Amino acid sequence: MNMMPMKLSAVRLYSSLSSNKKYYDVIIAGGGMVGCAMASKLSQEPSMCGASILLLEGGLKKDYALDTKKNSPNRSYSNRVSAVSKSSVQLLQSVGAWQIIEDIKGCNAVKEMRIWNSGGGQSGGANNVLTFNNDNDLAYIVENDNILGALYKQIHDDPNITVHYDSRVNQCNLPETPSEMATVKVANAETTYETSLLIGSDGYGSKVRSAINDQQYVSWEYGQRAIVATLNIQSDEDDIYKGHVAWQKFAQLGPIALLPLDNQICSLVWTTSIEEAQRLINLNDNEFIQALNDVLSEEKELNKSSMLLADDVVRMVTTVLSKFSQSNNNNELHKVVKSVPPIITGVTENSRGSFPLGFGHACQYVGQRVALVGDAAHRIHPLAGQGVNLGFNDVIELSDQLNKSLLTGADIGDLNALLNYETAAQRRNVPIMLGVDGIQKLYGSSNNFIPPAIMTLIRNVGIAFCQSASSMKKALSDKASGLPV
Amino acid sequence: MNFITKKRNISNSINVFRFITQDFAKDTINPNEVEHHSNLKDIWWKSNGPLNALHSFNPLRISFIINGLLNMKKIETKNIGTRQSLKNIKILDVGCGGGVLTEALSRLDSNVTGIDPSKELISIAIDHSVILRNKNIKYLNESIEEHMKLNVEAYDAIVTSEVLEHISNKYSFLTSCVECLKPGGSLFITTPNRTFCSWLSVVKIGEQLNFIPKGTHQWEKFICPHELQSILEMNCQCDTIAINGLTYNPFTNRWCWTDSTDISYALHAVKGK
Repeated sequence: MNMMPMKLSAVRLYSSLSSNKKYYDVIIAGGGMVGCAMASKLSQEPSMCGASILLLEGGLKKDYALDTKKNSPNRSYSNRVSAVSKSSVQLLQSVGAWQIIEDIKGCNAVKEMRIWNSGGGQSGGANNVLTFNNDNDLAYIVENDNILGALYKQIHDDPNITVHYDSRVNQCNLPETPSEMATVKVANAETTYETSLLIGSDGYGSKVRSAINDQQYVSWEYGQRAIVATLNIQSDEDDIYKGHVAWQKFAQLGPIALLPLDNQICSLVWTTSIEEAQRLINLNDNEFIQALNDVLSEEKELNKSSMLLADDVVRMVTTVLSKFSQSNNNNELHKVVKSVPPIITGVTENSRGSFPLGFGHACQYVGQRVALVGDAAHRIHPLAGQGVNLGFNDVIELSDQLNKSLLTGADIGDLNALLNYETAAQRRNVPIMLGVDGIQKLYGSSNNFIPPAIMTLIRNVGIAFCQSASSMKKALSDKASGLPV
Repeated sequence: MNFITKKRNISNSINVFRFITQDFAKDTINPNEVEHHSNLKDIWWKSNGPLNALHSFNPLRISFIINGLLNMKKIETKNIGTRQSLKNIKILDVGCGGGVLTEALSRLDSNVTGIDPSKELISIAIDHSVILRNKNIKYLNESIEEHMKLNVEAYDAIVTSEVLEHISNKYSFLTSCVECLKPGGSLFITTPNRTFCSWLSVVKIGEQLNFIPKGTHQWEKFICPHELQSILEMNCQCDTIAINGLTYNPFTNRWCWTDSTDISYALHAVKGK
């Protein structure tokens, strides 16, 4: 009497296995930096031992040629780089990718960050440079291709992970109840994949995100584009941090960041208006260098009397603040702040590119048998270099929660574990995202409502205040490095 | 002193009860209870439903079972801290219902059997077990008394979670359970306490606010930890290893361990050799 239903279920199990659906325990949609890190991190969790992971990458298989980069005297750099924070380095270390990057000397430590502001005043902005230097390295500048190359190397060596290239996720069906599986279809292919957990890391136009029920995606465009390029620079020879300084200038149209790749070479991320970006892209190399040097050293708006007033106020505040901080900041006073911006001497041919900037945040990171990580869940302005680090933090959090719940016998797609991930990830991401968005609003755009003098005043006082308050600086740079504050 | 007399009184009264019910083994099952739980069959596996508390209870009760077996040195060293932690352990889940706990146990590679008197619940459990893929799970629609006849001293561990409060004749139920246990095997029980606290939180507030399906619990049938302990010690030759208090927060849908057993508790007992 009791055996009959058992047989029935066996038949059902058999029929579901024999249909043309292929089953994987976890499917990761999107093989970018975050998707790859997710795959290799998950497969290393003790609880995922023997589980099958499928990584669906939309692009074709790429040869990252890690070995050839090693020790070449005239190495060329790609124009897409990331500032990798310390917690992200820990993640890459745990999956064995960081060692590969270090072997090919593919990372450069940032030891100091110097941030200054347009309209710095007569002082040439010398008083208004905000410097961050921790005892440890602040971040590492790594080419995206190096991170991807190292991660793919680890993934290809991993027997649990299957990678399908040229497989953009086209359609995904998420179940209503946990008793069913999620199914995924890719473009140009017949097979349907079935999975216990679908992880969406398919970028800001995520297909997986839009498949989640009741999804609300908050987003806006900044009306700005970022120009990237690889630059040759000439910086101060006496600088103790030579080759390890990241520069950021908040210019009138948006922040410009120079991320050091080595002693002479920097990667540029220049945020500006869409029209200006178009113009800059079309300039020839020499004109482009000229334009960039102009913006880095410009003090055009000095003529206005209101600006001069604002500048005076800032200088006063700075004096007062530096007196306050004198007692506890003796060490820092001995260091002369080098405010001289680096001089750009060249740009690598064909390294210029541009991309649009926007803000986006998914209210639901998870659903029945689905979770979003990285840009699929949140997209931010690159001014703080936090985009990929937020994504890597999602990876750490999600694999941690899954590991915990799997060890107590839960299903891989268990909603309770996913909800725990959502809570933890949002608690970390939302403040950073709002902070970055706030800085963008304050420094990045020409605001028509507030007179420029007052804006400049607020900006400069802000910078002066941060510069003298060492505890605040420490908190900010710790936050940026992604470690628990 | 007071405690001991109380204990003795209870075991005496239970002994009397035993004489009356001895020949009616089926009596541990109450048809109304079975019917009530069978009616829940459609919502059993719905997350965010009224049975959500049962689903979110899994991490705690599983870790209680794992830790208990670890203490008794039943878990192979190489499997500690992996997804195979219950490998080669034969477990009986008495009153498995739709199989929420049974499936979790089977995912940890144990050799698990779930029994439940409700035909409907066993059939949804069997239907749902399809998602397990190649795991060792067996469901039977029978009572513990029926099961006991063919499975004397067959199991390494017996789990009866959130079941005891629905059983009329706890004495017969527990002796039958222990009968199926190998000497030195472990018995894991979770059940609400019979206190004012549990009456208020489980029966009144929980069921009124729909955290628990209405009419699930009769407070009179709840059992206190010391009563349970004395039945196990005096009549089943089982030593109680641990009694841990449990609470549930319906707003965060989380269970946690506490010092107080006032609301609910988990008990681990071991059968003498």
